[in-house]
Amino acid sequence: MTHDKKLHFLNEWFQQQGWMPLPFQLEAWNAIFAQASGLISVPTGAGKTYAAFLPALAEMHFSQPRSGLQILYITPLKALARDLEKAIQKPITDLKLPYRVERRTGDTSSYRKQKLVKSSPEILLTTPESLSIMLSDPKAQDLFKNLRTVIIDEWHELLASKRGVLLELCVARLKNQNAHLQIWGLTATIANLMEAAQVCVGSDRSPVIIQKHVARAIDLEIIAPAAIDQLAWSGQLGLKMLPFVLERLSPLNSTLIFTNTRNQAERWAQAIIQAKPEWKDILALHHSSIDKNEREKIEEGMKEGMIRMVVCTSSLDLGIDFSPVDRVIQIGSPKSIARLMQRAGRASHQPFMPCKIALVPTHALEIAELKAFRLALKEHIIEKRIPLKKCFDVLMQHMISCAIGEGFTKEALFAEIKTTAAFSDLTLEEFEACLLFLVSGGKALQAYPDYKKLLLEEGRYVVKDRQIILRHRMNIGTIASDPHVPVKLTNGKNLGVVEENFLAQLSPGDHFLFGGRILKLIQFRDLVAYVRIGKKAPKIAAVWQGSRLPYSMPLGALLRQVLDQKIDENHPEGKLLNEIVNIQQKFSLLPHRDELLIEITKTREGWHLFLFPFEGKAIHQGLASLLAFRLSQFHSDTFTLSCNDYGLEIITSKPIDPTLLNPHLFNPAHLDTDITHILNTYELGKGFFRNIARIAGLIFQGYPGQQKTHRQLQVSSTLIYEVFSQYDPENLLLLQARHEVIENYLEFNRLQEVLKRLTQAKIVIKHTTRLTPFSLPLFIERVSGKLSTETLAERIEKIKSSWKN
Amino acid sequence: MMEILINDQKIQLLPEKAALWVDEGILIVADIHIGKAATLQSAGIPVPEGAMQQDLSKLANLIAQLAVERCIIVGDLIHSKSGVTTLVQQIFADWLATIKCKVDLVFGNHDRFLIKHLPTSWNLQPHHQNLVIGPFCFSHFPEILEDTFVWSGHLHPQFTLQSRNDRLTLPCFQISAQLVILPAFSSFVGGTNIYKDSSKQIYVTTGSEVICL
Repeated sequence: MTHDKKLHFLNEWFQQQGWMPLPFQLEAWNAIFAQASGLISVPTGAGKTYAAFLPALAEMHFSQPRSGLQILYITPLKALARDLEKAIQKPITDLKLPYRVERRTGDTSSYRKQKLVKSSPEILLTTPESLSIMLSDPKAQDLFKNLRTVIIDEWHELLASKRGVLLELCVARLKNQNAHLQIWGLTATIANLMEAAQVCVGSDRSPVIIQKHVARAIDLEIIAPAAIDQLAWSGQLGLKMLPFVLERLSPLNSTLIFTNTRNQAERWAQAIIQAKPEWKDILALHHSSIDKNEREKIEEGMKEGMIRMVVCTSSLDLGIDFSPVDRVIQIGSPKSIARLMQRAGRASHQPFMPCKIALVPTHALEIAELKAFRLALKEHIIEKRIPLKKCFDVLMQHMISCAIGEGFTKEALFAEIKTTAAFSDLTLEEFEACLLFLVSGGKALQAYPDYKKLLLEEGRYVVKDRQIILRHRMNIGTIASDPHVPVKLTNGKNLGVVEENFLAQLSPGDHFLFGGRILKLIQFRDLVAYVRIGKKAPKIAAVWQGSRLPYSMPLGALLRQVLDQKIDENHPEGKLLNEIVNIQQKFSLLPHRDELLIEITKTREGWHLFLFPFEGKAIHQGLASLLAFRLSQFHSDTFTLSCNDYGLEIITSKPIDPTLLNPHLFNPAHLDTDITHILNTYELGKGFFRNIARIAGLIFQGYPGQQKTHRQLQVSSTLIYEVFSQYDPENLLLLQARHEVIENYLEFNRLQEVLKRLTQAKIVIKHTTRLTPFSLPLFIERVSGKLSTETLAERIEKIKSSWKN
Repeated sequence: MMEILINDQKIQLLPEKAALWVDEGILIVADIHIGKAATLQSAGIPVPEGAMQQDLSKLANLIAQLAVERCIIVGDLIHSKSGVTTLVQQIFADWLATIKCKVDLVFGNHDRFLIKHLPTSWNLQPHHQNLVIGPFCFSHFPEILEDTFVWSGHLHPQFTLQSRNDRLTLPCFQISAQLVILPAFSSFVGGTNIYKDSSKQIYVTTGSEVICL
């Protein structure tokens, strides 16, 4: 029987390697031989590549021979493609199979890309964006006609993003060409596995789920100083902990030091070098704004063992296997359990060995949060990744790609799109509105009959304009990117990018910290910042916006549980945490998990109301605005708001009647009408529209060397947003921006859940005479909530008066 | 409105992003960029032309209100060649016919197409070189000239007001010893950030008010 033959074939190769197939691998092999599609969930480094790829290879080897491309392997990171290619090439070389493996990413030369189309390999490694570009090629049908299997690696990374939606659409297109196409996703552990599997294979198939239950052991240490005074009470930098981190660093151990923001990475790298100048050549800094070549050099240096310590951000969460990483140090809370596991997994990529990670609290109360991670690992709790729905920007981009490719008919494309999970509830009206927008510019352009992008030719929608085709293909891709300014040495060498907003604070001659170097700004011209290596102490380190990590949903509940339990002192941090909660207990109260603590304090600034729901900063922001709005119905006053991950603060000039602080205040009913009073969705929508406009092809970013020719086409998304709001207010992309504000910024659904919990909670009010361990961080790091309902004049007055102080 | 003295001449900086030379009754504007939406449309980007019509009617109102007899555009009247569609040509020709004011255009870098192809229906006076009137020189590009004061545009200056909690970017007039850089009149263009230093005075406009910083 061919089934046994295939099994035997793979077993033999495994034996040659001195391996035994693991049960989950066997399970996957059998499922793939049975022509199923599905999802394989195992921890990083457990051998999932061979679980999916090998049986696909055997399928190809023992079936009716076909020509051309047969296995498509998709990875979210092009940097991973090279290592994957090696892993995939090995069995083919060992078994002397007549198959070619190639990769096609954004880095592949156009010569190679053309060759791929003319004589395609049997196995191709690529990224979602490159796949989309290939599908926009008129010869796509030929290229993919003999495809048997699509394997999607690191599906958890794509699932909750617009890149995932783009991939869903591309896979639906491939499935449409090839009814028997097998689709397999590979994912790290996530909570909503069934949903992830369904999205992966499409809503028209039933996925098989293969799961390896044994999680990799994580050896978690929380670095706690001996005395509480050695910790800051607030702040995110955590440099006070430098001596304890230095104790754990040694040139003998290769170490990754993860921070949560690029700015923090800059400051930590600088601080370590200052303390240990002799490590200058073995310590490197790695983050996403550092030039790509520079980063690759660091990665090489790490592999070769020349670089022993790397201070990094999420830029190294995924990617290159630096085989010998001995330990991982994480500064501050990783904010999500999945991220903790991912980062811990970077230490020792050998299966079956526990990964070592040390967590460094940046302030006192964070110890409780770090302990929540211990609890999460013990109870096997992990986050969900929520797939996105109805992203019209991605849909429009895909529709243009299809039109450029083979063209499409309305009925066929609609039916095809409906098979994706992201668009399974797309209505015909919505689809027609997208089509109308692409064909004639929609309602707003009714007066301009000359406008055309998509043309209808013999029942098929196509694009004819060469320039539009070229620009579209340049623009494919959905990863968000903010306007960045390249930083160059005066000799022209690229160092990386900073945000224009950061640069706006600097004048020529100023020194700043970037990429681990002290730089002096020489001039800012033609959107390039020219710098020299500086000698003076830097005034500031580069800051990037939006780099704050979101606080994960299960973390809040775990944290409340940690605070409600008797704290064991088996670990060194237990003693310290006990000290902290004792102080809290003494001056206020330590809430049980079914309680909501409200502290009321008076200072010279006014009356402070502190609430501690422990739900993360984003939720607290929405909640604070909501509560201020609801209180203002009964209490006329000015409200100043601030929040952090643990709680929120409302300051008023007059005391608030405590009877107002009742469960009714948290009533989830009317949330949708109340938010129209508290959120300026119009203003906030601008921020979300930028990315939407780029994906939908409304703004064109240009590409290196070509910028001049396209300068006339440069237009900011804000300008388009304003024009649409005025002349085409029902535009689907505008509605999507508003929707993203509600869902992504306010996190409406989650806020509603939180409100439900808080109405059930027992409210405990404590009048305190001083700030407590809970309220102190909020008080110190007050980043007061910008009230978006203020008028322009009020904002200007406030800004101006802030300069006087 | 903000009245200042430049070379002993009374000048009003208007919140509508224009300046008035009071005694001569001359309105000065820069960077109107008509046909920008049409340029984008020709590249497959579906943006309606509404902003242009609104800008033009704003300018017409200003001309009527102030009863000026002359309006000088210091460059970049149009956005690009592909934006000068029949429709845009027609709209602007009609506009010129309705305003009761003489219009001077000092060519800017975006106006290159007009050098040879100025539509005959456009009743305006083109200037290939800088235009000099009394103590003032009108030029598209900001440049320092001896013995004269230059009115220019080109940069679309804007200034970011910033405090710890808020930031707000507004178009601005930049005035230094021998040079004014006007904000772009168009509401559909981006800008260049200007930074404060002792050599220049910055006036931001909120649309209803001009504020000296």
